[in-house]
Amino acid sequence: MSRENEIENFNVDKLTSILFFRTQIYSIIRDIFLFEPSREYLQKLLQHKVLKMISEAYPEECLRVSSAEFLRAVKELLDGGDVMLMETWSEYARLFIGPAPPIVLPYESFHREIGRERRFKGEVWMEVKEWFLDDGFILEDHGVLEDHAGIEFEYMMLTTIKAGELLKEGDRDAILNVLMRQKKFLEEHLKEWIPKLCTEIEEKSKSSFYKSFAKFTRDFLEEDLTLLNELILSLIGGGRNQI
Amino acid sequence: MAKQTLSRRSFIKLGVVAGLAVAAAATIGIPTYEKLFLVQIPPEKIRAIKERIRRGEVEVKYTACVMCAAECALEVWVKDGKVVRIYGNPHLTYNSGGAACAKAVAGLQLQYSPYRIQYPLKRVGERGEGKFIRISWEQAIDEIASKLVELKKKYGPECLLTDTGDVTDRDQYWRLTFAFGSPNAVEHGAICDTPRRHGPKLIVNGKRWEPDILRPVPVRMPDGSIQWYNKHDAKLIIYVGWNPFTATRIVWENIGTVRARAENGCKVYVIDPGFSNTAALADRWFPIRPGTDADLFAAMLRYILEHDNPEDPNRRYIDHDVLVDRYIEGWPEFLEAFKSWWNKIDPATGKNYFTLEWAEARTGIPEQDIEKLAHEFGITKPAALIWGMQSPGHHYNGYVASILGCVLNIITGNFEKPGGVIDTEIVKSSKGGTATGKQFNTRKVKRIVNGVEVEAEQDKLHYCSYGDWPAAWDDVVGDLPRMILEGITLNYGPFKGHKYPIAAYILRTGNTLITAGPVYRFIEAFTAKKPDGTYKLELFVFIDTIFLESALYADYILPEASYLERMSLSDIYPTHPIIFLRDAVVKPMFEAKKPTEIMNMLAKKIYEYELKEFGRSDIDPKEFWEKYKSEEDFVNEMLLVAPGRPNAGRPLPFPNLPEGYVLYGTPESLEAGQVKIDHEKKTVRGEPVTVEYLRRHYGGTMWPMSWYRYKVWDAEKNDWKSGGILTTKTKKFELKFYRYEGFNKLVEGSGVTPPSWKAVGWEKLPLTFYWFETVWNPYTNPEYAKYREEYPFQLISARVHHAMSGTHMCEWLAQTPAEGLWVPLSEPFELRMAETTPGGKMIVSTKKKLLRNMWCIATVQINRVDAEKYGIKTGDLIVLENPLGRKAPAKAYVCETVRPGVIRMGFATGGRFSPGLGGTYIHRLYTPNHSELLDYKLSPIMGQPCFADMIVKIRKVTMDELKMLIPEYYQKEYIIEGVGTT
Repeated sequence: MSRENEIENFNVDKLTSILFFRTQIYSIIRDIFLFEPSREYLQKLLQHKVLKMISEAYPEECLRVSSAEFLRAVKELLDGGDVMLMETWSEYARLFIGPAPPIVLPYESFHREIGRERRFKGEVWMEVKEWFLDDGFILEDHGVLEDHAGIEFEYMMLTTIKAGELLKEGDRDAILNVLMRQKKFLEEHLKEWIPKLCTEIEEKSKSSFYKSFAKFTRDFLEEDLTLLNELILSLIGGGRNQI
Repeated sequence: MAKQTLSRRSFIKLGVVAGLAVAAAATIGIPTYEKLFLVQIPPEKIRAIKERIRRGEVEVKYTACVMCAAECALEVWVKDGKVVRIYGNPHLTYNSGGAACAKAVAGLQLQYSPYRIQYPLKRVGERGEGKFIRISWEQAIDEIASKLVELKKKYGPECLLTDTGDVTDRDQYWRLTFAFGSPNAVEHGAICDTPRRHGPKLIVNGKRWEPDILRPVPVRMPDGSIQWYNKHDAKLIIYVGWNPFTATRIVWENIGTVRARAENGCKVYVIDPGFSNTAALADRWFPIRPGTDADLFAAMLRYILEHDNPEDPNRRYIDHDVLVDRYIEGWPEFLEAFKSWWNKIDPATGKNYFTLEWAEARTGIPEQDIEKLAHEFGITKPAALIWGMQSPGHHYNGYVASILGCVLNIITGNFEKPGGVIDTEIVKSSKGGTATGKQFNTRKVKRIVNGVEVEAEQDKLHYCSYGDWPAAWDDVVGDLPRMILEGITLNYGPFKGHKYPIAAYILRTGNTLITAGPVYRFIEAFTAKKPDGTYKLELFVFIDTIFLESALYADYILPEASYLERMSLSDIYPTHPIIFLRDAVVKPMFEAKKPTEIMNMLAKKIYEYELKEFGRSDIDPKEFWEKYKSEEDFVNEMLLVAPGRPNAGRPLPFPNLPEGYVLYGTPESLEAGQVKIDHEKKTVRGEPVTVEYLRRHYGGTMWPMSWYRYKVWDAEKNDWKSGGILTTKTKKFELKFYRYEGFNKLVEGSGVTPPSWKAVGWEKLPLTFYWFETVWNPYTNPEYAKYREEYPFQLISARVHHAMSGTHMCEWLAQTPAEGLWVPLSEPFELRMAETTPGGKMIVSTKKKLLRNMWCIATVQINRVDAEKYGIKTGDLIVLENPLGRKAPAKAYVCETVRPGVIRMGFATGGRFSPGLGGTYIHRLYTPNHSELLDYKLSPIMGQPCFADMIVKIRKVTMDELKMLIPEYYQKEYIIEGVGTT
């Protein structure tokens, strides 16, 4: 079968849609872990087509409900004015940065239980760093470490974009490789700590914005694993497994 | 839009990822909010990095510790940009014998602690609330600079006080402060132990006297070579209120004490209310009553003077070769003044001053023991009498003990004798030089004072020297609360009458809220408001790597690079010139910045704002960012004055160079005579020491040791003369206190006697021996006798060096019990901590439930006899209360290792309300904060907080009672919500 014929089986448009969808959500999650939300950013979120779509029409109830809750929290924050925005920024510092010990340090090193050092630049950090390196990424010095939640989601976002680029080239094996790597990273890293992190944020945060964000992130992660599995199956099987 | 009943597959099949088809048709793109953090690199670079990781390459680097003030040389292993091991530096064995103590190794826990300050933060709640938001460095610098310039316009630059705390690489901040226009830059020394250092400063222009037990030392041999001299000469060391084994940080003193005992039969006596770890090693422990060291020294001196007999080998106490005009200035006057007390009756005891029976009544040490001490000290050569930080350094009248201690060592011929006493300040290498920026204080400035324009040098605006503390050459920080509340009025000098507020406070690596005096006074000052509702202290900036209590009250918190991430020079207490490089061995984590960067950033922004505001600026770009492109540039300038010590003593360190001339340059260049000699200035300049040079020499270098460095051979007269390391006015030991003359002149000229002088009955400082009593001592000061019965305990503190701020969050380190002050008597709690697996192969993170009495907390020592009277057992909760009504909780540790009538606790070990202090924070509600029990009383002359002058009563309590007794302690709770167990 010719390469073009192979790709026809994939239904390129559909695959592109899914990858785009995933990129958008990973991007949002990444942003919120790494930065305090500005007023402009919140407005973008409120008008975000993908978020809106999920909240209204996504078939899985959990994600539909949590995304709707998240959007409501975004609206509430926007309506709350500058005072509420400042409170949210101070909540971001309290949760993730300090100066007091952060309530939930958003670093994988601190959330893995067995045989892991609860210090910056521990074993897990090294694992993540090497993982990124294997895919050709290094972290430029921006004041965070590789195993920060935001950076791990940035990795997912960038590799999804990469998959999209490979899709244009029609290289099924290469796309599969990227997606398999994503699945492995999801299973061996993200799923090992992000759900727990999100639960902690939900329990300990005073902000409905961060509470709902945490719930949404946890639900999306769950859902994305399923999506990934289906994507991979369809790429492997073609035919009756195609999307 | 698809219905909700669709399955996921159908959902996707129908392309109901609505609106995406359009976007999808274009590109997936990069939709992110901010720039990306991860970047792609070419495959060959990946291969190179992976290969390096595979090989596990380790870089070995050298730096200096900061986990305590010993600042030992370290060897650090770095792998992939991470510090993986910390060892002692085997090439520079000065302070650690090449080993790293537990504190040094715990530096890894500090470096990678989750409690590190990561980003610049700005306060958004009230001061003390603990609410901050992250801001960028640009915003932080901009706002701080803008505010500083605003305050400069309002009040003058002198309204800025920069306090650079306890870590010694502070010069950048001083430079910036002075260049900005304020002479008000201080450091930890202001609250450390100023009375202790007083005698050395007056008499030899020095600071810290230590026994000569640093071994091995490099010494010039008769054949001209330099060899390691490894023999111990000391025969007697008396430590008074000094505890090298737990409290001080001079590791060579620990090692040397043990070795001198073992190898030379050196006797060690410890004079301390507590049976310290050093006392446990000693030949005898004398449990002296707190606050009576001066009394003991006075009695020893009287005894020696009365019994000295140069003809009797068993009474030859005084070295009459030293006690001559050639070396000592003002001895006859000193003797006369000292003797003038002998016939006076002490109202506290009814006995003649300075007799043995008087001393027994005051110190609690039996008369015959004091006699024996005096005799042994006098007859044993060499001997060293060493006095400490906690005592007399923390006593109101500590100056007296310090002066007498110096006199005792000098007249017995022990100063600068092998095995005797060395003043480490005047023999260690100089550093800093013009980099520190003190030259900016000589700038001429103008002020309008009482309607008249006055012009004088910038340093004449100094808040102490020309304020209420004219003789406080180490500055005063203990009085900061009053100064913030009341402002500064200059009483002396050309700007007399000028008033200004302390409106801006930059606190770097310090924690004045806890360590500079009564906590409540500092909180009061930091939170005091003006009628318009704004804070009196209009700007408070906190700069550090760790989050301490003072930071809770700051407006801005700036993350400074840790000691492993910045370059500077360590400050150490050697007996000869040594210098270590503190090298940046790894890059700063997160957004931490180095002091040089912070200095340059602030300087540049201040410059911009000043140009806008004033049309000119006091900041010269050529003195900051244009000059110091890197921290190495800055440190190289600091090194230009190394070693800066005279070629003096025997053996002469450099026989090839003129004796008595001040030396600068590397030991090699001096040795080789590759020098420039200035006979007018009497200096010798070799090749300058540089960062590069130090790196090539494993991070440090040293110049030869010598003794008798106060003597210089006068070739013209063919005789010895005084000089060398003595840089006093007369180049001699000055028992006439010439140093005071300048202050007296200043005060006389103004007609305003400083309040603290008046408090001890002085209109001017006495130029020779003086005596006055300490405060809050009912046994020696009749003013306090009335409290004796109701407040039967003297309260003292002691230092537990592995339980101080920088080490509290290092869990393993903080778990070493110490002397009944830091004991596992905790309530049950949970803590996530790091521990090793069996075999020590791995460190695991475990959340532990610690049962009762499993974790070290701050406790108080109480003697068994006293405890029985109160029905107190070890572990009982008690409350301490002083006559001012201040209270603090504590758990008791009942023992025989503290003098009856004394309560001894650790300094800054308990009641700590910074959440950044791990387990210590969790136990804050029932552990004592010594500073809560202080009087706002500062010693005269130097303004030292009197940490060791207080009395208390105690009783057993329950936790519920405690909450009723000290509601403010629990209400304020210094709440940082959500933080409990880590």
